[in-house]
Amino acid sequence: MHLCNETQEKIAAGQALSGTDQRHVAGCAGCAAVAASYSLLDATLETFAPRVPDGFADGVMALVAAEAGAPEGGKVNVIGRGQRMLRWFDRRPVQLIAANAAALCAVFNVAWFVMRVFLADVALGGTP
Amino acid sequence: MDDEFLVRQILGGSREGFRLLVLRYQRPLFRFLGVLGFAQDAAEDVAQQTFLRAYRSLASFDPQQAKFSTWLFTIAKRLAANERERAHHRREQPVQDLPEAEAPSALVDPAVAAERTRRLAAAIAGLPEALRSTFFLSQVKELTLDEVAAVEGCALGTVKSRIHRAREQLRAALVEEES
Repeated sequence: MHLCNETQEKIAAGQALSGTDQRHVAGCAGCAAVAASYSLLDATLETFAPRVPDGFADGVMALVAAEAGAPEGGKVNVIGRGQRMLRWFDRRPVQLIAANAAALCAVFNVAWFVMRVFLADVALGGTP
Repeated sequence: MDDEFLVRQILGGSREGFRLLVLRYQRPLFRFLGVLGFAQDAAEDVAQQTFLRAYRSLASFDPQQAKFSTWLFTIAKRLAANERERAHHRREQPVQDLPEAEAPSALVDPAVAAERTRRLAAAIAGLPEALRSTFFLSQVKELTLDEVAAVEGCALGTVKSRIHRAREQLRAALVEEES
């Protein structure tokens, strides 16, 4: 029983089985069933093969070349300042701050417009 | 040519060495991203970003600290997490259908094999993120368990336990419906 537990633990963890373990599995119905179910899992996992698009490496190398701004075989260049700025602006907190500031400006402009148009009329004795 | 040699070549000015690294790791990387639940387009995007980020930061790679594969998959894992976060904010689903499976073996009824793959895909999608990530890193043949632990930032024992739990859950999902 102890050997069954040990063997099944190894199978479950995906560890390699020693010769003794393999002989035990061959003669033990319980361990053989566990081994078979894990073999089925491993075989099914093997069928998962996301497709690497054709020319993927070429695409990456083209981007690398464009970024480095040097011909093929050139030295590794650091990323440009403009791109660094863009990445900085890509951060979510920065985008939130910018959006809030823009919204605040819009509200202020609307309020300013209302004040200028309507309050000025009222001050001059007009009807709002 | 080992990875560290290629990295030295690239830093020395040969960009061609980087192409070899991309060719060497593109398939394991796609496999990792695919089974993490990224749809084809999103997986392509993250894989491309991973290699670009690696290229930009190559000068900071220290072979004394980690192997290149560990370093590359650490970048991929971070970018994958960021992409998930961004998709969550956009209320999008980066995780769509799992990638198409390879044609099943001729020895197995194609319908049965397809059904198994579908069930396994559903079980994978149901795994907690930590288990899924550790388990699929462990499936990347280029990484040892110690390297998986380094990428995940956890102890070797935790990695073994996560692999055990993930395998058990996936096996149960396959076997339950089969029987």
